[in-house]
Amino acid sequence: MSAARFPHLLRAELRLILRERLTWAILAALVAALCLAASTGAGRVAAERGALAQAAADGARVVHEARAAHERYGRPAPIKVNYWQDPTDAFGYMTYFMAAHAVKPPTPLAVLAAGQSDVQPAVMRVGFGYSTVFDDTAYEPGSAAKLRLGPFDLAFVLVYLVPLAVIALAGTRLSSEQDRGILRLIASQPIGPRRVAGAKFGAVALVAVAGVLGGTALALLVSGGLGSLDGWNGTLALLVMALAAYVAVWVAACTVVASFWRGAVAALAILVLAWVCVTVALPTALALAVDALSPVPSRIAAIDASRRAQAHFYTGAEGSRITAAWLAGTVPEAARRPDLVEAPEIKRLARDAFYDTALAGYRDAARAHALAGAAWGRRLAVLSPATILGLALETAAGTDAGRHAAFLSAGAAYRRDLSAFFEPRILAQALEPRPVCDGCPARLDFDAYDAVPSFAPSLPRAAAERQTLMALGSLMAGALLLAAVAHRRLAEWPA
Amino acid sequence: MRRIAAELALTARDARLRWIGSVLVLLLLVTGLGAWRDAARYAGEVGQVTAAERARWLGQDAKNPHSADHFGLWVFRASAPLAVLDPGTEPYTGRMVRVEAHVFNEAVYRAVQDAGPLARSGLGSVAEIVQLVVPLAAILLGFSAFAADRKRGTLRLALGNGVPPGRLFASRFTALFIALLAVVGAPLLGIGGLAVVSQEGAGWQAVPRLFAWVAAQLAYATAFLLLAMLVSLVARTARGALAAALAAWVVLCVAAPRLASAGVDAFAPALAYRDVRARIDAGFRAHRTAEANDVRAREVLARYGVSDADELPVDLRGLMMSENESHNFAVYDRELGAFFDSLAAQERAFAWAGLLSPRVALQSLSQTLAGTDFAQHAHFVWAVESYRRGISERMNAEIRDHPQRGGAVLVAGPDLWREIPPFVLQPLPFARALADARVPALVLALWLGLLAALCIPGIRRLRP
Repeated sequence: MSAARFPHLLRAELRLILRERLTWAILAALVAALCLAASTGAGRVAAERGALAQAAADGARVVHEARAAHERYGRPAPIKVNYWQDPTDAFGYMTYFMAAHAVKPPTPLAVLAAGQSDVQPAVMRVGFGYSTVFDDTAYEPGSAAKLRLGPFDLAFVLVYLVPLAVIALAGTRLSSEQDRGILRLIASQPIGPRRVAGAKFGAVALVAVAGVLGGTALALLVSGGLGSLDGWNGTLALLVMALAAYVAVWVAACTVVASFWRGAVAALAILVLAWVCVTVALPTALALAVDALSPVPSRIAAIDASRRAQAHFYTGAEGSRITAAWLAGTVPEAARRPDLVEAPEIKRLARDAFYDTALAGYRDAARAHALAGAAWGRRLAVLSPATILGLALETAAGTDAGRHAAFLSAGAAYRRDLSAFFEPRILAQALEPRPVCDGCPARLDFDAYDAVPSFAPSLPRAAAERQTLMALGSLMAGALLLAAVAHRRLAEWPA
Repeated sequence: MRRIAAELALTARDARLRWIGSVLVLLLLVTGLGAWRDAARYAGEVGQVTAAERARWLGQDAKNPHSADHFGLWVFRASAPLAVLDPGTEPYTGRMVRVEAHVFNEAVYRAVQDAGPLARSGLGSVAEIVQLVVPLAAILLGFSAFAADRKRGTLRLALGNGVPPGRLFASRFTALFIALLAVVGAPLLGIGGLAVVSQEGAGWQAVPRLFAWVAAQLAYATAFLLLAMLVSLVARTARGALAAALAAWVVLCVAAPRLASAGVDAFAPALAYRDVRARIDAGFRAHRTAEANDVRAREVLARYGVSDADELPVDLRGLMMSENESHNFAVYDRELGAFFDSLAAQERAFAWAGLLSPRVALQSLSQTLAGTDFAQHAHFVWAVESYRRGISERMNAEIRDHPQRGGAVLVAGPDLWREIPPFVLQPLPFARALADARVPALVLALWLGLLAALCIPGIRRLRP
């Protein structure tokens, strides 16, 4: 058969596939799963936006209440106000009032993948009230059973269920003809196995790609979960291509397995085992590799170190000595005021600085581990089509481990910014206390509530585009490699 | 028995069993031994730091009892011995709590935070291997039980020899079940035995837990063996049998569990933690203003019929701290109590969601029997909170009962610190686990019963 006749053969195969009830049943199930997944994703994104709005409202409420208290306590009254009740005291405000949040807003493509968002919160309250050891103390406890089973999101359907749908559509093509004896009939025609396989699997690929992309688009439209794509069109286009390449990888894998000529039972068994390896076993092995390449620093050792530092500070006169040394280093002119060493706010600032120094190594190790783990995860993800597509979806959705590691670092930097904002004000108030008025309960005069630095959130568009491009390249290479293997193996009909 | 022995000999000669068995045993052993090593390391660290914390608490300087309350300590949750087999909720819940004045701290530092996304792919523990891979192994062993014979024509021979179909089914099922016992049950018992023997398991009743746990896993594997044999009875070809069994596996083990997760979330939503925390903050805010504090101080003076704090028979600051804490405890009990109740309700809904998939039922049953379920976590959290309240109440009582005049500050020493006992957590008893396991066990039994019942007409209609 000439190459010119190939499109006719392809069309004929396409007609045959589209006439099969199984094809429509599989596509219908897939579209239903995509719609459900998009709807759960849209719900999750709405909840995240709600959490962000709640955090903003909380911040605004605190400022409003602080202003009201400032006004109330700024008038003479017989009432006694302690520092933890007094927003005119910079230390009191920083420690007991301020509601500053580091936030990780959802990207326009957040609906695609829950990623790590169910275990790593998008909102962190940055506070100075009680002792913490690490940046990532905050989390939202929820159902562990739900976390164990994982979310029914678009990434799950696209990464896990789409290959199974492809296997159901293409897994027994050629091999079932072989089992039924039809293959001999086909082989007796003037046509080689490459053209027949090309037409059969090409037709499946067209149907599967159209079904998956069309179904995903429909699901996104119906759920309304897609945000405004301002500037993210390129990432979305790359994702569409990566998804098509992922389908092509699995169709090519079916073609390779068909070229073994071992019959339908063996083909199905091999493909399902391959699916288990690629989507479950290999990622688990990669997780072990990431663990080995970037070992988790011991949280317990860090806690122990924090307690050693705390015990040291509170033993004998150590606290006073450390505070005096800190004060001398920070405000040399305070040497004239030895009473300041015992002021609770000065002692607290000195103590926190001492803790920060004592724990710097542990905190740095934890941050380095988070960043290194994410980096190794990105590097090793190319070894499995499932992990590379999953990572691309998560990065586009902004729910990947890399973004969270960066978010934790940004949160820690924000805490330092807040500290740098308050520290001079607290020291100034300690050195020269200036009440709002005589006889009024307000202790001091802090009122710069609106000047408190706010967190600058980021949307990692460049990282998402880069990761999606990487996924597209890897998946296309994988599909081409498998197609080349199949092409080589399908040189002749089986004996 | 002779027939079973013959089927067993046939099964043992099957290359599939050797391959599947080798892969399964290897997977289970590697994962189980890795978990055992991690558990031993964690237990060692927890033991060391717990002793150090106790020494720090007892060795702290003389100070005001409220300062000691703020100095506090950390407590750690020891792993259940069978967490080596099924870590259950442990990686998803914090196991370290900072005990300090005023704050019901969360249990922090979940293993899942450090593990990264790849670790959640599905084969991270022995239990996950059983839940996902063992059904596949059972299907690959059982799908050809009748379909392959039918295709080869040997089924006609077997039935023609006068063997009743029921007996034929029973002997083949028994042979395959024994094969599963060997490649699944034996490694599980071995790893579990090692965990029980090598770890501190006081109060866990680990041996009966282990046997019940292994029995549950085998019941689950049996359900899939029955499923594979059912499709083998019905399907005309081995290909059809395999395709149907694999489709059932995909639905029951891959898709349905996540659907169940979405369904439970929709029909039995838990309270959002941030809303709960917001309500707690609101509950505290109104109480801690200077005005509210002033009103309460005047109420105390009026209660004792005095006009000056120095005339009180108790220390005003200590009394007010004690009363403040009582108010805070009530807020915590109301809000966090409702939150934990909603999570427990969701866990119960998951047990019923096992009707969608035996994997969901097994997950719930397995973690309950292993002692790694949500109930054990909640028990830990509230036990720590009770311990924290005990410390706060004792410290506040010390201040309250030793009134200081003229702005003097009470200083206490080691005698008071020693009055606080070390934190010891008694796990929930096995009887409680058995009670909690009723629903998932019933659901799993329903799956077994349903599949066995569906096999009966297939056996009756068995034709070559």
